[in-house]
Amino acid sequence: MDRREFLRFTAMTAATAAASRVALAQAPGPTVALDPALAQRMGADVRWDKAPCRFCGTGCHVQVGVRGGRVVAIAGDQLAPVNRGLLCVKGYHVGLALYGSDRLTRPMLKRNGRHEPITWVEAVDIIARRIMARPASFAVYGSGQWTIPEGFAALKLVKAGLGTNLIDPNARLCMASAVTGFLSTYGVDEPAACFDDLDRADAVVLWGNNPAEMHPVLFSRIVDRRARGERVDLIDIGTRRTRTTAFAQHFLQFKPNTDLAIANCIAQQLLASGRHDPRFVERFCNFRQDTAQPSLNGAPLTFAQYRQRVARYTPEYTERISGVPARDLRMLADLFADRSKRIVSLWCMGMNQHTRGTAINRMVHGVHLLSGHWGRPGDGPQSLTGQPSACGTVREVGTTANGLPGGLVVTNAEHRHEAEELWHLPPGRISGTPGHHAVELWRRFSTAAAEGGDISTIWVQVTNPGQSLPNVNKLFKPSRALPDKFLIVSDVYPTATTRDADLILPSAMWVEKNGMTGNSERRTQQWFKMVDPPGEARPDVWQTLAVAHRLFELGHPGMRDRDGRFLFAMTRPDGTEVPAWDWAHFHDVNVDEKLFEDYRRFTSIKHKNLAPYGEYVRHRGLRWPVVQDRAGAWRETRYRFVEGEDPFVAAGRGVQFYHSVTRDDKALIWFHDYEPPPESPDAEYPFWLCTGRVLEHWHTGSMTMRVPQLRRAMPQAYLEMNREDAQRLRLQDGQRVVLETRRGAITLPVWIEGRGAPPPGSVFVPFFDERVPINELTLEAHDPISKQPDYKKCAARIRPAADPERR
Amino acid sequence: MPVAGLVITFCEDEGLRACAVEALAADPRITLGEAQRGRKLPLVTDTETLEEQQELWRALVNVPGVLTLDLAFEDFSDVGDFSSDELPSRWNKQPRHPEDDHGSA
Amino acid sequence: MDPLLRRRLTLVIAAAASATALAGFFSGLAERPRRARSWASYVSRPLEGRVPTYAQERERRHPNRLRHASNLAAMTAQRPGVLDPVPPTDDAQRAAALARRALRRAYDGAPPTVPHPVAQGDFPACLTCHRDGVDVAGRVAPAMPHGELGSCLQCHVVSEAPMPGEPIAGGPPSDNSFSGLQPPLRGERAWLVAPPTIPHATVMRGRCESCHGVLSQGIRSTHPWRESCTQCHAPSAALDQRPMAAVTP
Repeated sequence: MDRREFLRFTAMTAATAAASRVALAQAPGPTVALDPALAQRMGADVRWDKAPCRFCGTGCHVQVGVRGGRVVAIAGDQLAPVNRGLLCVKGYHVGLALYGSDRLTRPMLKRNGRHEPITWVEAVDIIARRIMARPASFAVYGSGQWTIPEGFAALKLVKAGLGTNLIDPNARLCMASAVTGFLSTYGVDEPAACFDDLDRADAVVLWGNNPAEMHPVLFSRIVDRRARGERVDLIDIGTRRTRTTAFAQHFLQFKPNTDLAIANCIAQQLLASGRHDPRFVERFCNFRQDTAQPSLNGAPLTFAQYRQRVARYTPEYTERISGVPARDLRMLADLFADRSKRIVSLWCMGMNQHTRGTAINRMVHGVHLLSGHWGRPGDGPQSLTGQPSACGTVREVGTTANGLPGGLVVTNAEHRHEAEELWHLPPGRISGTPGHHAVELWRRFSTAAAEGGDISTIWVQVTNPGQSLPNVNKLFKPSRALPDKFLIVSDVYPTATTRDADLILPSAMWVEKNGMTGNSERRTQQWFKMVDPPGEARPDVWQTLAVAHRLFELGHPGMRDRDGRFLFAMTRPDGTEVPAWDWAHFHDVNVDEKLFEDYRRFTSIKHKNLAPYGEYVRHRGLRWPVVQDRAGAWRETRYRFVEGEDPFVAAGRGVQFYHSVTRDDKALIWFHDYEPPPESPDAEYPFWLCTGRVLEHWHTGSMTMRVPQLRRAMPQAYLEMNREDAQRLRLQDGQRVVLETRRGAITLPVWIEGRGAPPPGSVFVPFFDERVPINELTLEAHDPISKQPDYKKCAARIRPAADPERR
Repeated sequence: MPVAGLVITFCEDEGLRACAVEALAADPRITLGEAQRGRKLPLVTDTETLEEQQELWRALVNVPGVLTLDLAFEDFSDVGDFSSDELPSRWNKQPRHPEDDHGSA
Repeated sequence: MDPLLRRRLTLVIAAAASATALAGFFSGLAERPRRARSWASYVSRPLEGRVPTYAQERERRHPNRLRHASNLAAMTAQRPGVLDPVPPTDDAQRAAALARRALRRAYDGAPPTVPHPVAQGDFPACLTCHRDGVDVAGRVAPAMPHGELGSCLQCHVVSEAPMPGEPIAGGPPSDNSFSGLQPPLRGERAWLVAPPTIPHATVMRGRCESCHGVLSQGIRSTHPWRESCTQCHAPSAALDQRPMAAVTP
């Protein structure tokens, strides 16, 4: 044995010893029996289990520490592929969200203007009887925070039971344009790429995106590569400076709505100099444009026509429209022209909450397709979602006015037939008429019946439209004064929505119930109930089942299948039926598993295959399509449409868009012209108003405002303003001002270049604070295809508050 | 001629793990040991220079499927390869001040 | 093994190895005409101070920044040496130290909140003080106990309102009945003078000197010159939430 060989031997012995030591340390359970008192003091009696975080669409896994029936600690799950042990401040404090002092614990009915406690039996009966009386004017307004089984149960109640399509989610306000972007580009929804890209990309292009605050763990996954000596460049294309900008090499500040011109400008430069990817385009792409009436499928365009349409968007022309210097636009095009670099585009609300949301989504896909930056690890477009199950529940289960499970739609007779077969329903039960999208649904609810407001009852689950709908003065508030408009709200805390609700149902949240969610990278996740909900709070899925069964008892024909069996009948392994709708028996079976297995049968139809429930118990999420290999093991998919990754791509194809709109396995590259937004600043309302979130708070703050650490760090909303504007208007930092649009006015304090820095002529207000209801001011104008409203731009004016108001 | 013993922790995905192992096995500078329970794999890297070793380790943690890389053994018998301020320490006690870098450049 | 995957994996390794060569190649292209200009050449220009490169940029534009590097150097110089005599610690000091720690944490293991203002909209220069720890006029800025993570404010938020002006009254109640895991008092000792086990989880807390180093009070190590802590102090498998290999329904 020579010296080097000896060294290698010694090294291997040491490594093997270390590996076995670490491996042993990971064996479950304590190895030494501890004195119980000592064990408690040392936290050894804490039971840990996995759960995805309750908040955003990143889908981090946390380890939840439970002792004595209460959550006592949270840790990042080190085995989770998404977050690898790291969390953000919301995630570390997610356990505290259960323990705010004003949890809703009893059903309450509004009588004579006051909320009075009633029993669950009464509450369920009231809902069922309202539905029985007028089934066609009852709607469910759900959420991207519904667990998969919750959304599935609500959808089945409405579509398979009531035979209407009156269900739509808050996700309409959050990612509808991403959906229509995917559908019209690839013929099927959801990203082809995954978060693994963030570990590989050479450059990340952020389109109106602030992941440092909104998807912090993903952002760290990118920037922490720098600490390891890797190079990754960030290009921030935005309308205001954010924390993300501080980490970016390039900041391209554009005028609101002109992102369409920027995307066209990239295409123009690539084509003008022949630096697009002709092989990729030739083999895998067709071209499209909108017709006069924008639609999902548009009209064909030839490559020559496309080239001609974008020719106008030279860097100089685009600079005039967008305000981005031509030099930076050239840099962007040169980046996309360089195929040795791997480029990820990230976007979220900036592109989705946009009256041209579908268009800009299509165009960013288009830039990647045209340049061939598509389908390699680290190289492709990646849409992010804001809610934990906007993908898993809304998009995959299909809890929308037009959806059915597994990517099916009600407007397709074959799809309806397929669903009726799987659910064993009488033919024709499922209606082919889509319901109303969120904005329209609430408009009808806030309009008197005599004036066409034909929605009389809405059941809201897991969301807070009284604060989050745009233009709440028009879409939400009027309903509270109209006779015969009945609002049912299932929630965990009092909110702007429960405040004036007619019936309030206390819900169980997060680890107080079983659950499944699906994150932004097609990852389906599962957790088990770990603690009991407070008081009489019960899971939303039970509430839905109970109402369905009450309808069944009252004789609603829709609650029965072809053979007269209850729609949600569940059986034990021995075949006997479990009355899961009866709270006393709800936990006799795993209702989540039953509903998931019912849902799972739909998922193979459009290649969104899911594994059996048990697989998700064993994993920290699996990315669909999950299919069995020859050995019987369930395999997830990292990259869709890519040979060698996606099991449905035929051998030898390289890339195959097998749900292609044009049925030739090609994706679509769309052309759209830039057009000015519906409302722009003018002499009367001279400021751009943008709204959004902050790191510490999640959406309307109903959970995070009750977590002391988060509340202290970000106690209230503010008007974020440029220093130049503040000086011009003679406003002091912290001074209270009145912010006004054509739809409403609110009073709030100024914070000059606080968390972010908008350019002169532009202000920003976060929407988490119920005391500062910024959505009284926002515009309900929406994208013509996705129907998603634009919260990011409208015209506003500012004046000092007359008296320093002390509310 | 640095020789080091390391422990790799793989991710949960068995497919990725298999691919990673195969990729590692293909590198002549790497000797794989016997996988331990859990997802730990001991291995030895044998490179010509320290720089090459660092490059290789950096590449290793970037192999899809590899979660972490822990050092269990490093041969210091060729200490002449180190400059004095590169002497191994878990935490470099006296980091050079960032602005020094500008000065010396 | 799938040939495509295999090629990809080989590429990963090859890419890392050739990164240096590529960078040189691209910088050589910087002066060519626009049409053929490489994207990398744009990035090689000065970055206008916005880019935290971790090596050079961490001290820029931060309100808490120690204005003069010499001050920092002086403060760093005042740091006790590892071989300096260690002042004795009694139980009361220890309890006070633990109570101080708990004040800024929702539970043992939670990221502590920040007891001083930080730059809200920018990349703050946290590492100026928290990379190795420094004693600022009797107040200890502890060294971070975990590896270098870039986006500090993602986990560590301020403990007081960062914005100016009057607080807005009302809103949801902010009291919360969460009762978090408390910090452990002491580790186990097999016999009277045996080295105690580590009584807390070590995830994200692997750098012992952060809390037990020469700057710390109450829970300071009596032997700071020893670097390999886990050689004698065993981490407890039971406290680590990692062993979740088998999750039972």
